[in-house]
Amino acid sequence: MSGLQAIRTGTATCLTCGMLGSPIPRPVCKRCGSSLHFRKPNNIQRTWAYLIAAYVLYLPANLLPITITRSIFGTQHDTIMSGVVYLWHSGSWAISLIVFIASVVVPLLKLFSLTLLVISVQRRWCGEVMRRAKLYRILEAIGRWSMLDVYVVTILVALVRAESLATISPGSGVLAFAAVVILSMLAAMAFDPRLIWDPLDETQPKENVK
Amino acid sequence: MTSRSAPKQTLQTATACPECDLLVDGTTNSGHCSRCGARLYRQGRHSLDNTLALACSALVLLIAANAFPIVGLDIQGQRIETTVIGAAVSLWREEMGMVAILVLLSTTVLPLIELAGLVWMALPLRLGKRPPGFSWVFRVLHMAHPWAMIEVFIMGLLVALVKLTNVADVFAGAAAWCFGCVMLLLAILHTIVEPRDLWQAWEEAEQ
Amino acid sequence: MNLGKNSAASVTSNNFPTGNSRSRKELLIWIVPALAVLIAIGLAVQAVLMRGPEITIQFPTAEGLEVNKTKIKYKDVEIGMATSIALSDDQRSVKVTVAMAKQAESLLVKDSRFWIVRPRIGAGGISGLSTMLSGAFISIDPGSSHEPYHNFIGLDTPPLIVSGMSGRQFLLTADDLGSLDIGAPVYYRRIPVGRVVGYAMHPDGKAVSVRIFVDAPFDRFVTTASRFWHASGIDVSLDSEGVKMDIQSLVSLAVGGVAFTNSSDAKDVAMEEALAESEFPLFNDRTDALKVPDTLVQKFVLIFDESVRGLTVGSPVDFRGLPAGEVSRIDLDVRSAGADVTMAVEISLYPDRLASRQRDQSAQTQSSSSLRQIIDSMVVNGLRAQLRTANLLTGQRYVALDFFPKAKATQMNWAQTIPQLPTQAGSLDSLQDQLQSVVEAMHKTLEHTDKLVVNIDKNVIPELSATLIDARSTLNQAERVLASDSPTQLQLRDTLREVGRAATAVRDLADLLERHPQALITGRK
Repeated sequence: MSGLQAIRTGTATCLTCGMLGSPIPRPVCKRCGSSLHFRKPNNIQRTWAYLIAAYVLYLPANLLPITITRSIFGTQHDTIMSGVVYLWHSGSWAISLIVFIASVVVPLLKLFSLTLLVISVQRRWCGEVMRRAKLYRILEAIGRWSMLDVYVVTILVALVRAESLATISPGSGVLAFAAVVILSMLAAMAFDPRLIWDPLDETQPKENVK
Repeated sequence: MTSRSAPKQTLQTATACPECDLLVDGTTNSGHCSRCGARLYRQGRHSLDNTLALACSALVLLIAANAFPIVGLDIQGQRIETTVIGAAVSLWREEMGMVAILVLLSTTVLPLIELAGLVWMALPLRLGKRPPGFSWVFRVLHMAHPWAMIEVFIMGLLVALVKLTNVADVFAGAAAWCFGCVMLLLAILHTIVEPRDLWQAWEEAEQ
Repeated sequence: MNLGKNSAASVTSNNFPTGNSRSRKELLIWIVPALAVLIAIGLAVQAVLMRGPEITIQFPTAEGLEVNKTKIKYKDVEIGMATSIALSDDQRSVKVTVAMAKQAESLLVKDSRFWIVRPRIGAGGISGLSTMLSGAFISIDPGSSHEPYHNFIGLDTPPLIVSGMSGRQFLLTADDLGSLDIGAPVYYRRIPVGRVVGYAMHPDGKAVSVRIFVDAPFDRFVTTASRFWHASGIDVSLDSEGVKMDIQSLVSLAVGGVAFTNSSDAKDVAMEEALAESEFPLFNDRTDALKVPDTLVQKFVLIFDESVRGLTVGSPVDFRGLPAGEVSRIDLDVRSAGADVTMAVEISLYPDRLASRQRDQSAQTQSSSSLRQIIDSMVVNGLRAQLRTANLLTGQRYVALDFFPKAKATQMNWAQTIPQLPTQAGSLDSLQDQLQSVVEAMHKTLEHTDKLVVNIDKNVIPELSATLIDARSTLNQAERVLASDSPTQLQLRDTLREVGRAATAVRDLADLLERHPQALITGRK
């Protein structure tokens, strides 16, 4: 599972255009001009920062209402979970499941998985490398789907504004939830997966000293 | 399509895997990293023609999709329709400015930038010239790509419609179909656009 | 590591095989953008074609209106939507820009009217309640002109007549508006058949002109002989004829109304339907309206020597119970250097009213000369005018023309401009006279009472006092006899003692006999 890493040879691959280049003397890709680094700068700190912020906002995102429905029957506050429950009770089981997975399961899983990954990288864990790599790939791919509920609220608010019959306005939970999604995406983007493989190569004899 | 095509596309240049930092030379046959399996290179026919054609279509449809209402509601004879931009404006009016900006960016602005950027790059290259500001446009596209979430938006739209069918008549406007097409076209585009090919074409184009 | 550029064949599609024919397959892809452009153009064209004209309407207020929500409706079909609401240039009204549907183009002519339908409570009733749920909308009444128009001024209130409502409008002229208001009903035989749609002051300020709309098919009941009157509220009249109350309906009680009828005494007047916009006078009440317009008026003056309190201008002149005219003026008549002041009451007689009772069928109209003859002969027979009390409660009076056989003979002088009818002083029927007699009777009673009292004083009293003295002496004697130490008393006491002793002895005896019954025979032991 080991091999020669570019960092050993003093080169790094540009994450934008794929060209191999050297970040020394200037950390700039010669072809496309984007910043070039051996590893993403400050990746552990930034990942942790985004993760913690996302954790902090996760609670309000689920506890605060995301929609406030005002009608002649009164005012109703709905959170993410109550929206899922409403869909389930009204018979749209598939949609209810989709929303549940996208808005409740995925963000939580993402946060936990990323935490796991960061800790494993920090502790220079050598085990389960492939699994961790694949986990990261999955996280990057599905992260964006948590934005589902935000778009649902957007459409609801835009359509249901018959003042006398019913109006839906967004609750503060939407802001928190959108922030959670954005922060988790940023956290995943800040994390450098190459760090998963680094401990492996450190046990190898070095060819070039960095 | 090259005139002397190899059975499979190759990397042509050496690079390192972005996920495990493994050095890979240009003779690798598959498009994946041998150690971690990350995709290094998209296989398949990468045609600038196709890219250009699909990007143009998607651009036109995206603009059309934003000009017409995407979805409408009929409660007790009261008809309310909204365009995508109108929906973001509604959010803005409800004191959710940040979310409104986010929605607008992710559904309209960034896809627009993506498509326009693709056309900007593909058209001159197709004609053998170097597009001005190529690397800048390239970088912008690379940054914008993860945040353009049209497919999630369509899904969210569907969920909202399902929620609303219980209480009122919902109908999809012309823009909904346009948006769906844009989503499809973008998906196809992402399978046929390979950044390295673009750079290659750039290097081979006139100064 | 070698980073050199690869000079291998590029992977772009720029390298074509030699020859100028492109592969057809490559061109296929361009169908996609072509399609996309077509679709986009198609949508755009459709939107433009479907777009109808854009108009502006000025309203005094934008209450209830909302951009992109408020609709224009005609016969309940949505034909437009308000796209922008802004203050007008002079900032006194609101300019609403409306995008109309294509098929509504023909409705936008010069005299089309627009108004906002909101929940409204007014004299005509409650309307527009459904807008509380659905939001206010703008309604249109298309005009009949052929001139297309795009800048309208909206109405403040919904029009009462909408084109398409069949019926006729008429103009009524009245002294004042009374309690009428827009929307007040018009009644015929107590059925509402129309409504007041407008009113305006005459330019000279001397009358009010009220415009009414009578719905079809009732508009054909308005004839040239129709009479209109205020049917507002309750008509209570308290006059020489008594108390009269008249109401049309509860609505008219609140908002007033107008009623009309066709019955008239002149039966031979042709009853043709009145043309639209005909003018009619508006009378104050039913009685006024039904009064046959008197063609002939004869004025007379009456001189009265008594107070005319209770008589007013308009008080009726009565001929043996029949209304013959009314008082038109009351004046002071000063004659002979201020010593003798009398009342001169001018009356207007309508001989037609008397004449219609005649069985004379030959002469329909009375000429003044024949009238004079009749009056002359009646005066000779004793026709006089007299003031009588009509109503005890209110003290109203009226002028009665009646025959007084015992009246002083006199003759009519027709030379004066206003001839004078002879009068007769009031009879003892008057309340005052009655009271007078009552007072006199009381007076007599008082006199009698006075005499009675004097009599009592003189004769009865001395005898009474003598009787009293005798009584007193008798009492004194009785007292002496009954005093406690009088010999009678002493004797009485002794007697009583004896009786007591005797009683005791008897009792003892009784006891003994009870115990020893044989003691009666054997004696006591």
